[in-house]
Amino acid sequence: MHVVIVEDETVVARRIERLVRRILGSDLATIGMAASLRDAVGMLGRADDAVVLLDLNLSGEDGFDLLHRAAAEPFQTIVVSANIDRAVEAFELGVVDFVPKPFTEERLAKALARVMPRQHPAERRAPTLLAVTLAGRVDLIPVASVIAIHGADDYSELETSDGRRHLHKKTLTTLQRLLPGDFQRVHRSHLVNLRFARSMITDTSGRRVLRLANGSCVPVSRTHAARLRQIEDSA
Amino acid sequence: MVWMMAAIVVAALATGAALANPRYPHIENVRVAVGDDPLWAAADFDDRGWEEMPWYRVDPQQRLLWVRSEVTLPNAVDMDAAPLAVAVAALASYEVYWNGERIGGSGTPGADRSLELPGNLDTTHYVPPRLLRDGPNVLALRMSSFHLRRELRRPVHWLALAEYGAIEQWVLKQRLPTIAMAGALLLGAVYFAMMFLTAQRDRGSLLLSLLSLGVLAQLVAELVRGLFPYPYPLHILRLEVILGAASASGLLLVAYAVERFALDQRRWLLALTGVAMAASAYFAPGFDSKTAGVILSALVVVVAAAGVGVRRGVAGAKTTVVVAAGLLVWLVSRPEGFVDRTYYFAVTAFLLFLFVQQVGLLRRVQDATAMAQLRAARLELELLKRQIQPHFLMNSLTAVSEWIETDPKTGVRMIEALAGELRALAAMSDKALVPLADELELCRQHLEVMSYRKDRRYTLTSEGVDTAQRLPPGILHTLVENALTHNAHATGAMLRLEVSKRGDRRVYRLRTPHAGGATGGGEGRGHAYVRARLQETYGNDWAFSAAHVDDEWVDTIEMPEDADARRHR
Repeated sequence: MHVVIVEDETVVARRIERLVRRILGSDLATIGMAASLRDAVGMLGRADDAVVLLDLNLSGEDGFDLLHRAAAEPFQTIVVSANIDRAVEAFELGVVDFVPKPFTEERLAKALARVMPRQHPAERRAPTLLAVTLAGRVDLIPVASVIAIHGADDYSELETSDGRRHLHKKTLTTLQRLLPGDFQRVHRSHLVNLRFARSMITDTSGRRVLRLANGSCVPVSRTHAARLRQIEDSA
Repeated sequence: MVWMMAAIVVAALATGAALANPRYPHIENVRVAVGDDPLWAAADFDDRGWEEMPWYRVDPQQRLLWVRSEVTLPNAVDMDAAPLAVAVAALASYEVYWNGERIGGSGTPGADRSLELPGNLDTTHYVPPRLLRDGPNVLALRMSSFHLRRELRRPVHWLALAEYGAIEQWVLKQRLPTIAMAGALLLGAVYFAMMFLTAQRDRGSLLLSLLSLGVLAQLVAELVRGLFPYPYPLHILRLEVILGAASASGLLLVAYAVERFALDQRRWLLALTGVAMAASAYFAPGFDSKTAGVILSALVVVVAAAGVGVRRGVAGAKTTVVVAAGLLVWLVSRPEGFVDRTYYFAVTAFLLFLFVQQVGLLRRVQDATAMAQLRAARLELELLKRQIQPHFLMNSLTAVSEWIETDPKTGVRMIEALAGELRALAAMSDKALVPLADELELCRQHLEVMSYRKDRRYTLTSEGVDTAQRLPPGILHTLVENALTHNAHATGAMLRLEVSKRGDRRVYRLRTPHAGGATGGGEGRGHAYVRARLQETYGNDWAFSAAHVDDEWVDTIEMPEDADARRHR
């Protein structure tokens, strides 16, 4: 796991670093300190297990703006904050956890555990908004309006019910981990909101596709097709 | 207010109907002879050689004299239904004769002081029907007045024929509304005395309360006649009491007006009043004009004082000028004498007007006090809240957690520092002013906490600063807090407090090394607190600025010298 700590309280930052090292042990790939979110973005690659431990109360920064910008970045975010008044908003934006100060090692361990791939999705609070950056501005897309998400290199493309498409910085893998159970992987590069799925058909060339509410079709790979049928039967 | 006064004046005029009963003849002129002879009472005595004069010119002072008047009664008078009486009001002892027969008297008149027994001032005497004649009747009075301390201008106040009992009824009717006024004055006196004693101890209320009492005393002294018969020599005392009460009321009225409108001119306005009143009391002939002069002097000064108030834009000054000047003009222009019942109506109405104004004034002061208290409470709360606000408290506690786990001794020291800061703050948060020494101690406790939190060293120097000077609490603390929040000091910092004098004002400069990093943004709240505190304490007599000078952040506060600091030391 790659960790960057954004915290301007020296001793607090030192505490987070010390505890993260103890908790993750050999799971920790790299750890660094950043004075700002911008620095953190520069320090982290596009790894799916990149996590930023973010203090929302950085001097001279607006916590609201900081939260939105963090949500739009590819990494996952754990907020470590003295103010808990932004917790609900943070969860809506898809932060992994919100750790109030002061905290114990156990509490921090619990937050870090949620980043792990093996974490059961039901134990997490799913975001209701996805943040996308467009020309330096952060827009919030309601998760419920997302029909499908398509992999696009390092980014992912959100297809929404109003017919628009938005580029999001998180990878499909990361998003699948964050989003609620309605979102199912149907293909290596396609994530579909099953609420908008209408029928699974085989097209003229023999490919299996999922027809969506807006008329578009998403290819379904064989491995995922079996699981989709299971879901369909149980529903 | 105006309608209230108008209503009172109209009521006064309406009830002031004349006593004159058209059924009985008016006594106009009488014949007077000095000396004494029992025959002078007789109906058929020839008094043509006597001096003729209107009854009110008769002067029995220091002599014994006889007064005779011929009255012809109208035949239509039904004497059984309306018994006839002679009403006399005179500062003298007298005997009343009707057609030669004595029908009554007051005291015993005599040829000198030792022979005279003083009687009551106001009397009425029944005229038995058997004494009445058709045609001319003769009313004769034997009077002497040797017991007055001073000579009066008109010792005979009243000589008339009336229906028996009508005088008493008339007096009662006249007095009833006056009793209501006495009630209003008493109520005002008590109300404003209570306001003075329980609420704000403002001089205005006290003066108004005493003024009400003064006018009440004058009114009561006035009312005594007619309600409580008294021997005529006491009349002088009563007149003196009225003059004294009028003077006291006048002075209090001026003091009140000066207090409200022209405090700076207090000395000469009060002196002017004193001189004018003394002159009136000394030079004016007769008690009535003395009293009138005293009251008019006071009203003139009140108009002047309120005029000063108008120029200064004092609330209510304009109305007061108009009302007081109106009262003044009305009093002077009245032909029928000055100090009578109508006068008391007008003065009571004027006092009611002042009452209303004073209550409004008290209300405004009360509101302002409540607002100030609310503001102070809000500032206190804000100061306390800053210390339990999550950013400060939770970050400090997180740092404490870290020190406890890695270096328990430092952890305990940090807890000590945190406790010290919270204690210092709790001790001063409810004070309006604190010595600089306490404020500096609070700042240093905060810097110590921050030193542990940031694991850097923050200090504050304050050489050559008079730490006994006092200032509103939490101001420097707020600025120190701000300075650390908005500066990214990599290696700690030394803050400096400098004090300089500018005339009778002191200037505090807090210098913080400016190591770049973010500035602005969060300063709003802290600076707002500093400004609000300065405003609360010094009104508009302060200045605050914060600026980046070279490589320092400089907060500058200018405020008045703490004059009490040395006494408090």
